[in-house]
Amino acid sequence: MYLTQPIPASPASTGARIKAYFAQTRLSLLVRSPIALISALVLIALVLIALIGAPLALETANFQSLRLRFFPPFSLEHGWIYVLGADGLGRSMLAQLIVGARTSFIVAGAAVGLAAVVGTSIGMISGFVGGWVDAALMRVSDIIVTVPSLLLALAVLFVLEPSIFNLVAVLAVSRLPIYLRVARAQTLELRERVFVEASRAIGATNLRIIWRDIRPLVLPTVMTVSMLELASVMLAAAGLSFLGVGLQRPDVDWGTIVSEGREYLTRAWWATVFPGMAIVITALAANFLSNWLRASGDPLQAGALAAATARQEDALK
Amino acid sequence: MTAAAKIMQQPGEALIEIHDLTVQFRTAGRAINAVRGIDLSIGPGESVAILGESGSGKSVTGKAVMGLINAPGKVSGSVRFAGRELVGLSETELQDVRGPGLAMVFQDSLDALNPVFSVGEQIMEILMVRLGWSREKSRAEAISLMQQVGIDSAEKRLSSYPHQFSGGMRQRICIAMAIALKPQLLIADEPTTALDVTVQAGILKLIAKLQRESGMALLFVTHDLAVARQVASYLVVMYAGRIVERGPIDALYARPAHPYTRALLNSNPGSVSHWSQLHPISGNPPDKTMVFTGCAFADRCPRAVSRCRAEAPALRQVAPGRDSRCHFAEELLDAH
Repeated sequence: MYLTQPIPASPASTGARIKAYFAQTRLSLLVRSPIALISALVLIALVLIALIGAPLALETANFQSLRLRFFPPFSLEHGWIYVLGADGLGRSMLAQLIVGARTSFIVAGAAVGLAAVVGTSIGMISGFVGGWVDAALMRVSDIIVTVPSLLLALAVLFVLEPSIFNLVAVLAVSRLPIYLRVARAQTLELRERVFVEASRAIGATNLRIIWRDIRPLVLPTVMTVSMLELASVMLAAAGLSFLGVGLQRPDVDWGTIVSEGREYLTRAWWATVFPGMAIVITALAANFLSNWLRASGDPLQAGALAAATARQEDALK
Repeated sequence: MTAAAKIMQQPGEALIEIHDLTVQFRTAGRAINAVRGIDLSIGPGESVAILGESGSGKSVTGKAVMGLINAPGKVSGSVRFAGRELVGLSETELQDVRGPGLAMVFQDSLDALNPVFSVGEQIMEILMVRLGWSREKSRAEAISLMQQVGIDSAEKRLSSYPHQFSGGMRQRICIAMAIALKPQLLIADEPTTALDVTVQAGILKLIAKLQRESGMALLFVTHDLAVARQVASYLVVMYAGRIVERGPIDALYARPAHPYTRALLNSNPGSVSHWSQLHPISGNPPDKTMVFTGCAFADRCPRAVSRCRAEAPALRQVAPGRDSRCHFAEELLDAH
């Protein structure tokens, strides 16, 4: 069924109305595209684990035991919590991953979200207004790009004290230019389109044009970029933690676990591989989902998506 | 020039008065003169067509009236709309005039609608934002507007997206959006150029009908003589950024008073019975960076004499209600 079919004017029953609404929303498409559905479920599961599991696993994650030092994975000898092995201090990998999930999501999510919202807004304004405003904003962005982000973060976090809030702020600022440039480049193209001129011709304000004509068309690209950024921000946060200006124990995120495990990579691969895999899985799921969101958010592509899904289903029959 | 314009239309009645409008684009040290001084006034409910070939400045004129010329374009002269000077107004001040005062339909109808919102949403937004109407009231009006522009089962089509409409249908929706605020003057910039000939006729009929019924004035920009005749009663012929001839459209058709208009008529496939009778205008339109000492059309004109290259003709009245920018306009008129 096509996304764009109109809702029947007066459905017979509530059930029919819900059904019609369901058919119209993207949800019905999501359910029928396996990769997107799996990705969505993986992300939901991870978020739930982070929210519910982290408080429960916190104590276990910090419990050290020399007896369990480099305890190998896939053994239930010491209970299921050690199924993914233990690190150099005998701390349960599984428990640490659960606790780290929460911090990773908060830090990376907040940094990416902040950078995306602020960067896109500035980028759209910069591209739309043009002139000296554009030139000034782009030079500021150039300065941020020129300063190595690690150096910037080190300097800032050295002066301010390392905390989750400061970490998020520093990561967001250093990632800002990507969104700024993407949004600006798209805006430059979009503002020359006829429908933008038509909006002006009917008396729309600049703010309205940016919000209604430009933002919806810039958003899919920005969303794809931010999903790609999610993984690299997680790793950047880990790098800072490794250098001692990021998160400090007992705070822990996936990146911290990776960088700690790196020291004994040859003896205990699991201390690096499992948190690394967690980052990869999250990033992959986010990417697949964002890809699908982009396609289904575009009325033109959504039609094609729906048609392709319908064809696949017909072929299976 | 203005004197001639005032003979045609009484100044007190004019809805829009354009005086010495020039548009110049300055790029990389070169000045491109798109419009080189235009005088024109349109009264309420009048329908005027601007005719010209590519690069004659006809579209730029339409956009300049709307205030849609972007940097590096520079507009000078005067555009008085309903007693208010539009040239030099800020973007914010222009926003009040656009919509209920002036509205525009564009050539590229395929791109003139936002692809990510349904057409109903886009029509309703105009009404909700500009008139402060409720969603329900705007929806009813949007349906009525879509019916007015000839879209079948408008209520169903309200939730369709632009890509689900054909080019002609999209242009109809653009027209619906343009007339949503009941403009006093509709500027149509080659609204049928991107469309099939069969669809074109329908759109022209629609514009003529809407103009007749609503009493709005129409400024129709086109390069097609036949199209101009279907919607307008008054014709303005432009060449190299200037008006070369103007007058009631039928009179102009029957007896052109400028060699360029005459050449246009002779090069129109619709007006001859066999292709061998077609006479394309030789040469190309002049460079827009040029400054003329004589007549801009002299190089392509079959009648050009040395006077044409030395002395620039003024736009002057050559017969009642007829203006021409040619030294030999009277001879041309008599020749018919």
